[in-house]
Amino acid sequence: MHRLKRLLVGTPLPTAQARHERLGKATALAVFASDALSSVAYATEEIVLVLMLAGVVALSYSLPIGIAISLLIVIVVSSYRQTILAYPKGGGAYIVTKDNLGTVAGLIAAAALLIDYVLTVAVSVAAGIAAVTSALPVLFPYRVWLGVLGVVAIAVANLRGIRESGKIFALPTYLFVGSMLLVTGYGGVGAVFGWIGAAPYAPHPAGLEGVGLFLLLRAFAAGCSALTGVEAVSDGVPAFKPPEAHNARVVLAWLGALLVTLFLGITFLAYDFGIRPREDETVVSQLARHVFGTGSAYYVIQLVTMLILLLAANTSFADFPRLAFFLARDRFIPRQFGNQGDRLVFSNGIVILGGMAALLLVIFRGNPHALIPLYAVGVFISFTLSQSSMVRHWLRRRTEGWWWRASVNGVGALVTGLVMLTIAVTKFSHGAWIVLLLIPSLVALFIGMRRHYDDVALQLSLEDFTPPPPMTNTVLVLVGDLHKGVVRAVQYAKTLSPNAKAVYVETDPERTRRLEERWVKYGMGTPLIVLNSPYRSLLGPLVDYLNQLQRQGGPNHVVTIVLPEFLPARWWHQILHNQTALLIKGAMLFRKDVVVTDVPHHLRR
Amino acid sequence: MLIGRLVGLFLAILSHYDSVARQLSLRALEPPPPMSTIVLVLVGDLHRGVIQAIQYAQALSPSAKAVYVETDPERTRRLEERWGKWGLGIPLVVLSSPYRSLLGPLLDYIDHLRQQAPNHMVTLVLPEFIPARWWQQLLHNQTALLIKGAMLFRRNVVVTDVPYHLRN
Repeated sequence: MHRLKRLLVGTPLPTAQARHERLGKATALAVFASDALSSVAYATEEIVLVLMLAGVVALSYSLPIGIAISLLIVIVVSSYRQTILAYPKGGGAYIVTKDNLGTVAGLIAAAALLIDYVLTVAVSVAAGIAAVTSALPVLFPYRVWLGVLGVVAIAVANLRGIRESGKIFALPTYLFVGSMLLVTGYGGVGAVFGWIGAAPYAPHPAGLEGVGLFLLLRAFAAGCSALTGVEAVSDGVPAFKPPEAHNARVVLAWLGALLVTLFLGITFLAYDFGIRPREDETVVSQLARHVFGTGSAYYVIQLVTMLILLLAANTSFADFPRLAFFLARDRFIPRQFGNQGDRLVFSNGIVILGGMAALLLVIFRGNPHALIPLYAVGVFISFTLSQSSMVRHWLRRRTEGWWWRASVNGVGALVTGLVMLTIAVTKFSHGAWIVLLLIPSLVALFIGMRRHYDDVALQLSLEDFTPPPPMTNTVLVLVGDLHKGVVRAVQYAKTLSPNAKAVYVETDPERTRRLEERWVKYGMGTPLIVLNSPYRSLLGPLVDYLNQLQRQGGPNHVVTIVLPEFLPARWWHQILHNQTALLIKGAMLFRKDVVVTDVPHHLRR
Repeated sequence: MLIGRLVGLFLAILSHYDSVARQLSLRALEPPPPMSTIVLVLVGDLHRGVIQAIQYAQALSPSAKAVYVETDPERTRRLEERWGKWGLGIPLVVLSSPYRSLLGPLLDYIDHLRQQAPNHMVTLVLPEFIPARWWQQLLHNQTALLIKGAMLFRRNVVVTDVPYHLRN
């Protein structure tokens, strides 16, 4: 077990080795944009899938919906550029909301974010595997296990502690941006001049629904998955080279521009070429295949798409443990999430995140379309809360330009709030209900844990505490027989107290007689107290005797029970012996002023 | 076939019991060398449960020492400041842990003590607070369990929990 851990995770790192890399603008874009940009790999497809319910004619609505979502991107990006100004030390939704709207609102944001991070991993990995199986259909039946394997690989890499190292991120991110720009650029020119025609017609079932407002809103809500990950830049401002806030705002603007370009380009071309969603091939894969043909360019694009999606999943492995650390520091979740592991990472957060994401992949059969309805609702809850907090922030501070800044964030809050409601309503029966149910439960859990920790701290506090008088101790050795282990335990008891006594619970007077005979020789002068047990119970007479000792004991008196215990060489040998020690420890666990001490005697075979 | 298997099992169990009895037998037992014990209290913080454990260690041995594994020098400094008031006069041994592991430095220290005095037992006193409900235990570090597990196969080390019971 230990060697496996060393092999996978590596040798421990000293604390002094913790260091922080500062990122230039170009690297920072690669590090923080992978999550947001990778969503163009599935956002268009989500819109088209909903519209197809009303048949091929409804597909023309994908353009206005795409434009509406692009406007939304502009609004959200502008809002977050304000957040960066106000929180140059990093303004995650939890911290910003807790600061401005109070603890409960902050916890709602935190719960939404934690769920989100899990879903980011599940959705991104599922979509990454879909990019691979589009190119290599033979792998399609194995997509669930490929996904689980991907999650495990990312988790192990994070347990080893790959930092948000620019080099790892820069290449796939820029390759993805480049190849998508190439697909949309070359494809766009080809479409205008007519040298690339429409995709071959694929037969489709007729639409089941009419084109109604609800359907259009549902398609819009589905496309909002394009916005996931936009907030990453404002969370990570301290990682930028100085002037941090300025650089972060520039990078966020670039990110917005790229996101809008790629998303609109893909949506427009998918419509123009008449590409229809298919179960076994993604829309982006069909688009790339249509523009470049099934050649090496196409395979490179699929590979790069998978890589950026895996990087997007990887960003959650930095974000989730960090948020968990903040929550553990504020004592809202178990404190184990605050422990740094051997490799200077928050190992527990990484393991929990990986486990939950893998579980989701198995439950939802590795299907990104089934996971996405759960995804966007949490993202927009945290958007709304964090934007509303910013409005409050500007109204309180009234620094220069506060009126303008409050308006920008106000519009952001209003719009993201409306989108959140739209998603919650239109996607409710498709899985959003799970998240809407989970968030309040998590918040209640957080508050419950905080209450427990506060209560413990109060009970253990040294304020107004006067230590009781020095403790007195009575040492007993519980004896059932006489063997080497018992002799050792008696000897040990005598080192603890010269007045140690041996206690034997009598079940058969004949055995008592034999024990007493041998005690003279091996008892080392320790008095042997025999307790009568007419009902053969070991515990009953022992408890009675303890009660009697504790009544006589005086203030701050403790009874130590020394148990001779032999440890077999093989753990399964243990089941062949009486579990007396376990029984006694269990019975004494909730008894005050009794300490139970095992003296192990190790057997060789 | 089953009968054959069962008989084989019976014989194996019998031979295990015989082997245990031989190893524990007092026949030809040399009078054991005199034994004494070094008492350590493991301290991670200072609270009522820790004070109780220190008092217990003092009741076991007048020369008991407290041991603290340092992960952050700043926390050590604060602990040492408060130790003067709450340490009840017992010395505080600080073990540095560059890899943040609790077990590594503790095991090294205990091995070092055992080498110096091979006939000594080392008694490690662990302050442990017991929450009123069992599931609340999950909310706290499982340090005590970890240490007991690590010491299980070390000869001449006895781990003693001193429970501090919390009310609900």
